[in-house]
Amino acid sequence: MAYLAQLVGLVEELVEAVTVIPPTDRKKTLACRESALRGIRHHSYLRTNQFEVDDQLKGLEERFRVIGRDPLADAFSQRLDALEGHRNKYTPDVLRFLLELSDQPAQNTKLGDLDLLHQEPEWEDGPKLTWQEIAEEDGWNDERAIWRNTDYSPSSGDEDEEEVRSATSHDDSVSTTSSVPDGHARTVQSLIAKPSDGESLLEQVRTSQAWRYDGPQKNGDGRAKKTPILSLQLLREVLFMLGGLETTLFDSDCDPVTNYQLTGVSWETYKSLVTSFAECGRKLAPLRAFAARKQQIPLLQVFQDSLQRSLASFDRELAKIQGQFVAIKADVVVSLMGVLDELAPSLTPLYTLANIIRQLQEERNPHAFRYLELLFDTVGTAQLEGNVVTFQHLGRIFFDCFQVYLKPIRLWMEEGKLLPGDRTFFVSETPTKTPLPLIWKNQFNLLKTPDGTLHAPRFLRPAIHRIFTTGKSIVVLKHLKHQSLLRNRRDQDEPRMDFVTVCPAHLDFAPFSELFTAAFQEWIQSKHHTAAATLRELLFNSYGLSQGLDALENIYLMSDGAKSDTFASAIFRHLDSLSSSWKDRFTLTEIAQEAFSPCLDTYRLSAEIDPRSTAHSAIASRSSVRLSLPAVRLLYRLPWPVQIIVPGDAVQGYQTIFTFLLQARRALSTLTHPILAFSSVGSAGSSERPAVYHLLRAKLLWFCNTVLTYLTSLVLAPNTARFRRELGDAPDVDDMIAAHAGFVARVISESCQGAKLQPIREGMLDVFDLAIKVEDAHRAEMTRLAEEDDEISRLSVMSSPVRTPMKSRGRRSLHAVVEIRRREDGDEDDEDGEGWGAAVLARRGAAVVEGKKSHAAVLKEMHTDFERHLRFVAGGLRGVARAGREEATGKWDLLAQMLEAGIREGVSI
Amino acid sequence: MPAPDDRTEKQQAAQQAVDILHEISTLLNCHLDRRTLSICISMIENGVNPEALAAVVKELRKEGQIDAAAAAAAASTTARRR
Repeated sequence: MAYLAQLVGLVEELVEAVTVIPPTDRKKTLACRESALRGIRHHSYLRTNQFEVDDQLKGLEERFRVIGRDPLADAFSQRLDALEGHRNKYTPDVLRFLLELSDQPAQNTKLGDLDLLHQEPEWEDGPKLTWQEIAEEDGWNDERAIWRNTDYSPSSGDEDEEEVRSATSHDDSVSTTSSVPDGHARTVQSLIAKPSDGESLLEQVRTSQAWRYDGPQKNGDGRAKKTPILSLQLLREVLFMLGGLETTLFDSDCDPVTNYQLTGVSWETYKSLVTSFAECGRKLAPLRAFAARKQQIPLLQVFQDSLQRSLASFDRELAKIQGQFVAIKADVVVSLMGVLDELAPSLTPLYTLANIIRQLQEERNPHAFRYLELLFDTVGTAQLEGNVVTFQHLGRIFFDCFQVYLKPIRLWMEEGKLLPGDRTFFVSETPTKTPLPLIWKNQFNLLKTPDGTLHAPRFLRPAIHRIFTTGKSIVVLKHLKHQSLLRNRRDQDEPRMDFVTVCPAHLDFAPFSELFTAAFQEWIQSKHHTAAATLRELLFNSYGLSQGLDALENIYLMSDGAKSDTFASAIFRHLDSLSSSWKDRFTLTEIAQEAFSPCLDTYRLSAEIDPRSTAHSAIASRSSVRLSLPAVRLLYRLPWPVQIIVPGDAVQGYQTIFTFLLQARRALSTLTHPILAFSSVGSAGSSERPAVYHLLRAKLLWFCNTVLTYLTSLVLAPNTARFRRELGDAPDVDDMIAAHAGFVARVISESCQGAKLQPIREGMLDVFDLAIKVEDAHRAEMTRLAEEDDEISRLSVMSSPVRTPMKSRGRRSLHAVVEIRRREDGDEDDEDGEGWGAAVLARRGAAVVEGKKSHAAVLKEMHTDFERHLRFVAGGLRGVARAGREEATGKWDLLAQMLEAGIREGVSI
Repeated sequence: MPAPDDRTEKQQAAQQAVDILHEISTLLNCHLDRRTLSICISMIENGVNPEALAAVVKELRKEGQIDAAAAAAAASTTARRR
């Protein structure tokens, strides 16, 4: 049943498709359907024979070929072959069906139908777009610019030319629609522009501008007459002139051309009116000229930019006025005086700017930042005069330009770098590489003009020093590889430096220079503080500034007496033994390092001998403090950051003090540690030992102790303490350097080592030498006495009759000679048998030595010498103290007082 | 899922077969449009004898032609009458 229903449906469709019965005619449809069904169901046909079908198809194809329709045959066979791929069990039936329905295919089939088959499913396209339509739509013919050849060369100028005239006059626009016919050919004809309907407008314009004559118009009788003009025309000309454009009524210097006159106004009135306008124009002319020039330096470029902006706003004012007359919205009166009044407020700042430019141009070779100084002054003046508009206008310009000036400053203070080729900045770098300890002093310099002033704007002068030190600190920190520390610390932003921040409205009455200075100080402080503090801390903590200074004090200033004594006495031993090994620097270094080892890094310490002093013989070196001891030099190698604070020439000062102290100690040690002990405190010697000797010795001891006490407790100790305090307080490196330099200078002058007190120093050295001489003489005397005693004792044993009694003086002198000769042999022992014998012989054979005084006389002489020297030194100190005005005079006075105590108590013999 | 793909493939294959048969029928000048052809193919696949079906189609065409001629004649007489 289902099959039947399906079949019925299909039959109905078939009927509908094949016959053209309208669906309303249901009866007919039904009838057809019934007949179709009957035909389908009741038939007497056999089953399809598929081989027969194939034969028939092959035959058909052959028939096509036979009658000459090869393409048809090919198409047919092609389709059949294609069908092979889709063969199912009903395919033969379908083919049978088609064969039954075929209607003389050999004659009637058209191959074109096949193609039409494939075209049927295509839908209908919309109308195709053609280039023609696009061209018309876009108006390619109208835009002439498309067809112009583009010029790719770098100079292209003619693109935007302002048509100022179009604002006021009613120009007719040349019609842009060309008469080029649609199409691609451009003929010569097409290049002729035909003004379409602007002829009348053009005529109007021509007549309205007819009054512009080139030269003066002539009267009937040949005299020049004045051309009358309307006030509107004059107004227009004036506005153009103020806008910097060429006009007929004013020439290039903004002087009015005298050929024209306003109608209805007398000549004088007209002239004064026009002259006042000309004045305005003339004042603005340098401004415009400057704004148009090309500048290379960024500082000037920003100034030029501000000027251009001011001029642009002025031009906008002009345009607004012109707009009132052209696009008339309300009734407006054409009044030249009114225009002048309207423009006055905008003109005043421009006049001041023009003034600045004029001043700049008058100066010869101004610096790039000269205009900043002029601007600064003008702003201050404007504020004082109460000119609020000018003040604000110029103030803004000033700060805009100042921002550019701040850039190199900021770079310097934050990175320690300089912009290459920047001549406006006041810091310069030496091109050569400086050694590390000298970076601070030498690598960067402040630029100065030939007449000695700093190459910086006047208003920045107070702050320049701090800027400089900050940058240098950063450079040093970079060398110490600590700049990262600095970056972490820089967490606060710099304060803004612009007009509204620096001159806020509520501080109207504060002078501009004060406000600026305060703001700039703040700005600097934000950058300076961290750099300087970091460097200080580093110097103290990481690089051992204090330790270095302590070491210097220990070595040069002998602050630790025990160690210095060890060192000094080692040297003195060498000196006294007349050995030359103290002149060897390795020995000296060893001695020094051994002596100072507990308190400093010995590897930094080394010693050397000044080669000039090695020429003296050993005896001479030994007998005077002047000859040998100044040659001893100690060197302490400081880390290079500390060397910034303690430069090489300061160490020279230390060395001087060291030498002096060494000399004093030499004298003292000679007096307190005699080399040869009294071997025989015997009978003969005791009576001959003069009291003078003891007195002299005591006085010399007192002198040396006084000098040493003065040096240590009154000069070195307080100054060191003060220096340490100042060092702790110093905010930045320059102050530290200054503190140190001051310390060294003070110490040198107070310890009488300065150039002024040279004679006094020489006097003191004379006293030291005297001390050595006294001891030497005494020693000689003692030895002689001891020898005499020995000889007497021996001779008394030997009892020889022949004995020339020699003068005691001669024997004494011979003994002295023998003594010295013995000492020269380096023999410290008392008696050597053979030498002794030889000496006696020598004594016997010796002639009388002339002119030697007795020991007592020598000592008396020395005593008087000492008194003389003492008086000289004390008197000299008093005199200098009274006459001088330096800090050290107080100390000198003290020393003089201490020494005078000795003079008063002196008992002259 | 394999079943719908199969179905679509079968549908496509069937479409292609019908296309080729339509081309053949055109070459054989059977005056069959596509719709009629597909109906007939469906009927044949349902077991209808092709020769019988061909006879029925011829019959229906004849009927259609008679009706069309009668309608045309009626139309011309009404036109002539007006």
